[in-house]
Amino acid sequence: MAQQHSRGAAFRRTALGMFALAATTLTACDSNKLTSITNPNNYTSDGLAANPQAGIQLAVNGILIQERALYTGTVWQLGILGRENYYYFPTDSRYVTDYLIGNGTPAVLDPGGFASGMWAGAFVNMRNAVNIVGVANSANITAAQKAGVKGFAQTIRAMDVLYLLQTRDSIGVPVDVNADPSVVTNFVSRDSAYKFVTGMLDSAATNLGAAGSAFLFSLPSGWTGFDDPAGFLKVNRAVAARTYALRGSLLGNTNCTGGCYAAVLTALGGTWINTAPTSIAALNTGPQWVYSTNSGDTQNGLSVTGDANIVGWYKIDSLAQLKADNVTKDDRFTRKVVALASPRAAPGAGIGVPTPWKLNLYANTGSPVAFIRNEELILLRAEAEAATGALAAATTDINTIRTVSGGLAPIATLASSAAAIPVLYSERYWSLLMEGWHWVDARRWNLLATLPKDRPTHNVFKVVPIPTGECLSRNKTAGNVPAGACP
Amino acid sequence: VLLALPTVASAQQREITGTVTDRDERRPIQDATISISGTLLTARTNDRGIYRINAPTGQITIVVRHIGHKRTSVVVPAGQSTVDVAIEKDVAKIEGVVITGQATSVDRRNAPTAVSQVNAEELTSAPSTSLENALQGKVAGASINMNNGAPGGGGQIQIRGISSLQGNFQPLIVVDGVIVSNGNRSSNVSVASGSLNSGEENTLNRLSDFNPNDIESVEVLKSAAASAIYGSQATNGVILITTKRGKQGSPRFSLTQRIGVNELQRSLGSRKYTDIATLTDLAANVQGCADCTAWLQSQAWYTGNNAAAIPYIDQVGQFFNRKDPSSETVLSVSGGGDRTRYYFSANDKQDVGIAPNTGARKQSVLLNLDQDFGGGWIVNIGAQYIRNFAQRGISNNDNSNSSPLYVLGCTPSVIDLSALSTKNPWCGGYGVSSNPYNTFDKIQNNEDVNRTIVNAKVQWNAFSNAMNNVRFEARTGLDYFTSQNYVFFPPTLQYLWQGTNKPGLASQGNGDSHLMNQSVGGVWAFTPKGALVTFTTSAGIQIEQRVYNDYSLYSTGLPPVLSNANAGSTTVTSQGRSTIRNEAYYAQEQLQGFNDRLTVYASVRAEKSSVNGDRNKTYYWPRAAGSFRFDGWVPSMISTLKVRGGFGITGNQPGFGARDLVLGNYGLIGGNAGLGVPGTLGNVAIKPEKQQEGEIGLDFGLFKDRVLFEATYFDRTIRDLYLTAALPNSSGIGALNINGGKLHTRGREYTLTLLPVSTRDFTWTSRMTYSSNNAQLDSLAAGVAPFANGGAQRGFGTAYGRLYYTPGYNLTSIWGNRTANADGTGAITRTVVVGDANPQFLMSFPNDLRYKRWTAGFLVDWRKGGDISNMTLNQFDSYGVTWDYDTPSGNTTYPKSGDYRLNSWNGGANTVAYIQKGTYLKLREVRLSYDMPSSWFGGISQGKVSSLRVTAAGRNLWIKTKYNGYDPEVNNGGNFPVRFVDLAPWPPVKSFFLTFDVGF
Repeated sequence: MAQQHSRGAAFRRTALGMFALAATTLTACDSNKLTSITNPNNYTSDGLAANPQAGIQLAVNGILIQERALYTGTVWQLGILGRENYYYFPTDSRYVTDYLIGNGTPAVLDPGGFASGMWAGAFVNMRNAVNIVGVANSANITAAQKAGVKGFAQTIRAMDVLYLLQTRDSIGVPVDVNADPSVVTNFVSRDSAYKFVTGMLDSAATNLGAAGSAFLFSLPSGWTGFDDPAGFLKVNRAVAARTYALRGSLLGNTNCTGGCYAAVLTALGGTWINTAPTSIAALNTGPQWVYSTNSGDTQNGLSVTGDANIVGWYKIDSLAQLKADNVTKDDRFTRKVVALASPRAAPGAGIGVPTPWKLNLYANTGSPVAFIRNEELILLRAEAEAATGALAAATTDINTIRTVSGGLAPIATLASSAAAIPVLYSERYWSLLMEGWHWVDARRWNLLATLPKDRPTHNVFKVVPIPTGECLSRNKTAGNVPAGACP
Repeated sequence: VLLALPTVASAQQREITGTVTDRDERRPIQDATISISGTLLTARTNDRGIYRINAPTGQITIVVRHIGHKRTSVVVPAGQSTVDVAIEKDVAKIEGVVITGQATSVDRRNAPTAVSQVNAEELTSAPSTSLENALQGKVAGASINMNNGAPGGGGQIQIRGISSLQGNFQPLIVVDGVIVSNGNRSSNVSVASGSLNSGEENTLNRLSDFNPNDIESVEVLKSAAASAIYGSQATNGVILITTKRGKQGSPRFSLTQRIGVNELQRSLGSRKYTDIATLTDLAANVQGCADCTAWLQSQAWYTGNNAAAIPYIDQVGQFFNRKDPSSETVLSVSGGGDRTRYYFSANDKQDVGIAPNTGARKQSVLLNLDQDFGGGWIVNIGAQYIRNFAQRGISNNDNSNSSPLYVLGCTPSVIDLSALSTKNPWCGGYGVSSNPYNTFDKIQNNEDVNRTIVNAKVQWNAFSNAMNNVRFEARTGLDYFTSQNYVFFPPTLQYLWQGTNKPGLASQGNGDSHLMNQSVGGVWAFTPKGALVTFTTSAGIQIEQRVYNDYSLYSTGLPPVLSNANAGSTTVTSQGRSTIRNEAYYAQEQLQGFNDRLTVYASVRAEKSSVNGDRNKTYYWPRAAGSFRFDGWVPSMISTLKVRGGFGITGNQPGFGARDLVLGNYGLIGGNAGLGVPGTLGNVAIKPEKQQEGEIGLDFGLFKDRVLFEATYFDRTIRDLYLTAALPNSSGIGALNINGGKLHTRGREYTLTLLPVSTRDFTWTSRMTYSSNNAQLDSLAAGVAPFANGGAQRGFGTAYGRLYYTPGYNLTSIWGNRTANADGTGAITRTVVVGDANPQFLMSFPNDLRYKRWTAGFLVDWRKGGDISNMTLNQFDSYGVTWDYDTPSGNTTYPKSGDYRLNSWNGGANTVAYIQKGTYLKLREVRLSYDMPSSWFGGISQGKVSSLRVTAAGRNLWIKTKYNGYDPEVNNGGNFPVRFVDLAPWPPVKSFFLTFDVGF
């Protein structure tokens, strides 16, 4: 025992030293370990500031990715409202009830339901567009390069507001984002928003004009011919033509300064419009969203092999006009609509109707989508010509579409501007099927009542509501929501 | 622990020996601790119950302690050298020690905070799929729910209600001093099923890996005054798991063999069709057939238009009807001498799923070694290896008609799907055919976890005398596992999922998790001469690091035959990595004295973490608690009386990356990467949530502790809430990480233990636990408006009810729409409270009976209230196939219940139509066992078998509830603070097992 005691004393000293050493080891070198941990999963803001040119390129790509998503997300939803297609999701009946039935008295689209979207994405890209201009302004690049970035970003901003107007229309929309994301910007009226869009497009056009012969950044495939400032300006003008036409149909031609429809014709002059197309391909020219099956990329869900839930409106065949033989249907029907192997029923019992149709607009999940095409430009020109009294010219353009795109017989010269509306309404349905316009056309030409209801419980809605989340976070009381926008 | 320290005796004058036995059973007690009061002298009994201890001369008091028995003191006169002690069973669990610090503890009778301990016997009293399952009904103040009935278990433990809106909500789990993971990773089944998150994919949470047979005790630190030793990871409580260790004596082998079956807990049946007209209507509505009469007549099952000719199949009951035996084998050996003790166990558990082609298998080996090197050096080492393999098919929310309850919820009872080739023409029409038998036969969804946990503790009792006792401890622990998820959905499957994916999917996803913690500390116990108190001072350092690496590869469009994830036409890869490091210092002072009446401690932990915005900032987590016992000062009828109280501040860390200002990765366009504003904005000032909790309690015992009552009230306030606050969408940014606002939770917990009968032949212990709590949001961060959190776990939008964080309301409030009239008509009020998911209270009634060699027990669980969004019922109603569809509703417009419910729901205009109370009464556990007398087997086994016990036990054998679903306990999103979504769950099971325990 005594021996153990003396050994114990030495032991104690050694052991104490060991524990002290362990403690020191644990603490001494560790503060560095703690502070040097990085986040390997995402880009950081610091990383971008270090290389603005690469940053601008990445941001441009990001904006286009987001804009592509906006397009895809909008057209199938507006297609449901416009009786062009359905989204028959196998396990959730709300893709029928929330778009075609609604709730309340009188029925409205449920602001907390599925058909209250097409909202956030536009603002995300508005912010991206604002940010990229900020990055360009502080970067060490030429004035022309800065103007190029600005012209690009402003065009995108205008397109984003236009998306919002497509769905919110008379409610009005916010047109700007605040630098501080917790500060909301006020709603402006529909007409102010249209003016904002055209103003923004015009400002963008000026900047693109000062941007020299090439952008600082490159645009992805699908933008060939539109990927330098001059080419991109054509897209800018096409969007301007579209915007003036929408505004003109609401206000009447003469209520815009200088005439809305005159502005359409002027703007179209700056685009790639080809009024004498001889092929379907010539109708389809325009900038395209490209898709692929690569990891990280997006597939074309709108394609016939894409999202299987997108199916055609159940009586879409009944809307097709007949060719001169009075038997054969419009080529646009034959080209764009195919029969399903077996009919597809709506999810849930008793809320929808089965459909035998599938839309065949794009061949496969890698097919590109032209989001503004020569065919639309020609129809916009026809609309503007008719509205400005150039009935013969309007008829010619309409007949170009009817014959080239539809294989139909030409129509006789329009008798009046008003007579052009139902014609354009029908031609645009087929020419621009599931491109987001039929429901908008029905609304702007006061033809919503003509949209068919599949079942007695179905309804036709005028606007997509402001989503509940937006209303709640604006807290209703703040006074920055237009009356009635948040039920 | 301190009193039990081995020490070097210097003044021994005599040796005392004796035998320790169980008072009632008169069998020797192995591994009992014998100590001499007023000294640090201790000894242990061997496997024959014999001890030998050196004692001072003169009259002394020896104290005998053993887990499961009451502490017993015997006064030994001078000169006596043989002392046999018979000790009484601790049926009411008043003995034991509870943790008070990183390296300190006190006797349970002095505990200053509410204690919940579950011992080995309680954990294995009835068959369980996993540890969570075994803990149900046994921890007052903890709400323990199984997510569903899939094999392999998996469930949630929530301690004292909700402590965080959006931060971590799961308790910290510590096994033998090692902080372990309870995460679950996504299996990528979502790609094939369209479910929305890993909870819906029904992968296992990692607590389910642990084998209850290896666990000596589970201690739950509920109050902040107890859990604050874990600082910023303690807000949700801490679960301390202690595995079994070796006992002194010759090797004791124990073999446990269980065999049993799992069955559907309750089948609700299907709607029975008695006329073909109803089916024709249904076909018209679901199918949209032009001539539904002709269509029905063309169906294989159609044999005529009369009630008797219409087939009836209980769709859910038939699908979840696999009754193959499940089994479990546990072999353990324990033993050791004076210096070395060891415990080894091996376990193999196979759980058969009640659905075809599903099951789970857990295998583990555990080795615990304790070595006393002399000189005060003690080393404890533990290592376990676990393999947890599960095939759990598909369940929960689904967006492709792959989840069985979705499909069976739109299939009328007329068609028999059990033949794999049968096409199911219902559910979505001709275009989408889904047969779950076919699906489950062909798919693979394998989760394979290989896990190693090792721990080592070096303890050095540096110095010991009558006044001072100094000890140092160093600990290191590692929890490393790889979770491999392989998913294969062959292109030949009858159901083709929707969306842009092509048929044929294979996915391989791996997650590596590497958790390590180390600590060094010292404890100094000081008893001043003549003083009535002992001061215990401890201090130390702790480092903890967690490294995760999660990567997966899946491809779709697989050609036939091939089943590798690189074989498809579209391949998607992903990877996420994170590292979290915490560094902490702690110091604690504990005071005990006045004849063991007073216990007080106070401590502080200073901590830095890499997840905080300011990594160099130290956060302090203090606590203090005390108890005082009045025993002996009160009328003798009151055998014990203790008041206690505590206060603590704990934290809840922000998530990894919350501090980082990152940009969103938007993917590719034309082969080029793009980025933009992130969905959630990082915040460089992010910090932990701060919980402040006060707890008071009163414990008393009556009639020699035949009646024991513990009452606890707590009041906690959580500030600096870590929010991912939704911004107005028109800002262009989805959400912002921010601290701010406040919530409070108040609750009470009662435990009543009765010992109505305690004789040598017959004992009956009856317990009752009660707990209730309520969490309310007081405020949100400045500038943050009330918001609904996205994500399916928080509910499926206003139509079905969702969570919407609003100051002044309960956090468990379910928000939705409501119409003026109950039948779904009239004006709609949007964003109103339509229910509350919080139960009014939870109660449980465990009972144990022993009569001679028979023991029996049962546990009844009662939950009162707590609303649930019954989306499963909505699914069945939507397709007109609900079990009670035709029950009269009392409504004249819609006389059938199913029709009435669906119409009064009105497409979500009246959410409340599918909000139902989740009250239930369940017979959780019931068992009967018999210890065979050795005379029965002694001859046959030639004396080698020392004990043989047979047990019959069942779980969930009976449930009583008005809830119109399979079980109100389920939750679609898996573990989540507010559980209220019942959506196509794997229906819960009941099980019945026979167990043979052989000791030799």
